[in-house]
Amino acid sequence: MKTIVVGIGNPNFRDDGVGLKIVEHFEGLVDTVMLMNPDFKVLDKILGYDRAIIVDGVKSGQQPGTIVELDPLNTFKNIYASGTHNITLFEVIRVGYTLFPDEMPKEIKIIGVEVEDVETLSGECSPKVREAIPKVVEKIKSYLRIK
Amino acid sequence: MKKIEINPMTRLEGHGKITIFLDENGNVDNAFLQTVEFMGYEKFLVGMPIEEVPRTVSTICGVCRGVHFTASMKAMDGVFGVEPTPTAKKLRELFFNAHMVEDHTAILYALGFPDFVCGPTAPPAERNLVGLILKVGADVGKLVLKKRAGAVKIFEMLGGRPIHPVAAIPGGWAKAITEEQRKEILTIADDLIELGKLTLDVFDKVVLQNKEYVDLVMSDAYKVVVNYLGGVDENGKITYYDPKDQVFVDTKGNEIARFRGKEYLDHIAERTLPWSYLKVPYVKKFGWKGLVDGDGTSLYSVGPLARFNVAAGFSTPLAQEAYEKMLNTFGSKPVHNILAYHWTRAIELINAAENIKVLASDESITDTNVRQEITKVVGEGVGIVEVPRGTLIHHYKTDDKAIVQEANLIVATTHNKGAINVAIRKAAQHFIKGGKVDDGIINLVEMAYRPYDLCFACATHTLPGRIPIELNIYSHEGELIKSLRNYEIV
Repeated sequence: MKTIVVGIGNPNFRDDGVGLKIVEHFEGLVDTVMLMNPDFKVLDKILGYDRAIIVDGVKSGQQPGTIVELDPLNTFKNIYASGTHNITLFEVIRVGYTLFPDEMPKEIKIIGVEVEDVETLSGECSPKVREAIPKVVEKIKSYLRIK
Repeated sequence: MKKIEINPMTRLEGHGKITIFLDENGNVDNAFLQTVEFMGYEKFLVGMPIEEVPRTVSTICGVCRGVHFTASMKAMDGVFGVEPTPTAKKLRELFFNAHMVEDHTAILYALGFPDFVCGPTAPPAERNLVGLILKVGADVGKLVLKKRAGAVKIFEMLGGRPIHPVAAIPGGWAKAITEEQRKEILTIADDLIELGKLTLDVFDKVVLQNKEYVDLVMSDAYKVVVNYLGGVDENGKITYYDPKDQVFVDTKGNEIARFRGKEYLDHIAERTLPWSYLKVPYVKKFGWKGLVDGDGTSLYSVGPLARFNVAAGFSTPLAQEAYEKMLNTFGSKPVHNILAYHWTRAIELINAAENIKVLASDESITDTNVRQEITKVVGEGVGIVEVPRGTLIHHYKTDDKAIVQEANLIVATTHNKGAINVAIRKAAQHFIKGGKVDDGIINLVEMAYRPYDLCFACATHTLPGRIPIELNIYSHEGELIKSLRNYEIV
């Protein structure tokens, strides 16, 4: 099954880089890509794959380091950003399935790590988020059946 | 006095807050946009070798990743007192024009067109990207996204990494391109020109052939009379990567100033307003006249419409043709109708695509002389670039080892701050009457800032996504009467 792991985040804003740090563990094992934000570039990268794992930071009010899994189609089913400058990951995925149903991955899994600090300019994640990284890596490896 | 606010959902996401005050009759008394300063990058850069700055500032924003990279790269040239080799300059221009195509396409289709295609007062559930695709047809949507991907491919091919570019070196570019790559870019350029034609056609069919929308574009509700700033080439035409001069014109279109590099300090002053996190720049020679538009104002705008107003047209044929059509429609310049920003954005899209074709047609672009010898540290550099959202200025001072000591970044949204405030106030005053406010009216107000494509240093993001602005409405006694956001979760 042709698989890609996509990390989204900013490497310079502490916990915002968590998705990127997780993806580093999959380089050489499966196809990987790092993006700074969830716009049309996500489609550019996942079209043609059977399976895509998208890893990102999440701010949902839970304990920092909490790992959450989001169904790309049924979570935030009706979120619309009509404002400025950017669109959401969920809109992008909906557009993908609307326009390119045959090229979109049959499976998309979105894994989020609850962030604590995404405002401090730093390349290091905060301790609780850092502790979550190996757990997410194991979770994805198990899902992909990678040892 | 009633108070209407558009608040940030979180401090992370865009940091925009619009406050609208209503009087006792429920009409708009005043309106303000408040934003948060850049997220500490200017301080973060202090102590950093200037060579590391371009790839660092490219993370300021995932959308604008190429623009901060390019402005700082040009400033870095200044710090070392070098000019890029001719080939390096062509590669930088190629890279930058690809970025223009990518950015303008995303802004138009995701944020600009839905208001017109789906209807300005349509609910958010319909007035969005998917709604737009359903209206214009999946085939058009597919074509747009596939062709746009070509611009991203050029960006990544030249820039080196998908996440953000890394190819900047002082006086050069990290690697040359092969003849095979040049030919591939040339093929992509044709696709991008087709994308430009298609986009102008969509604008024509959806907006220009619809009297209701033409009336909206021409309406005083969306008219902001200010001065304009934009970069021009040696023929006075619109250019992006390396303008020869920055030109200011007044509200009548008369040239009032022309500057290069560090001279920006002689022409732009900033006013700190007590209620705002952000300074409001103004034309220095006019002095601060307040947040007011009209003849004599000291506020100014940047961006596609400003460039249209400042420059003598475009250097490529299809863009020039579209420029003349727009000029004929309005009859004269400057055009102060801010919804026309979207039109000029579409014209610049095809211009950038044509520029790519011209650059890639030049076989000498594969020359391998892409690096300049570095022999000295001058210690100061200014990079000015005309980016999708307008004039971007990066200014650095370094020590004799080229370590950054001071950094000053003026971004397009900052330049536009005063004009955006006026735009929001005018639209709010026009549409909010007698205290009646609903989602449709709020969107009509939001349409006043959308043409400027605000970027509030959206450097970080977390799921569920960027949520830049929330709107709250207060009664004249300070009571919150309505809270609205520019997105919807159902």
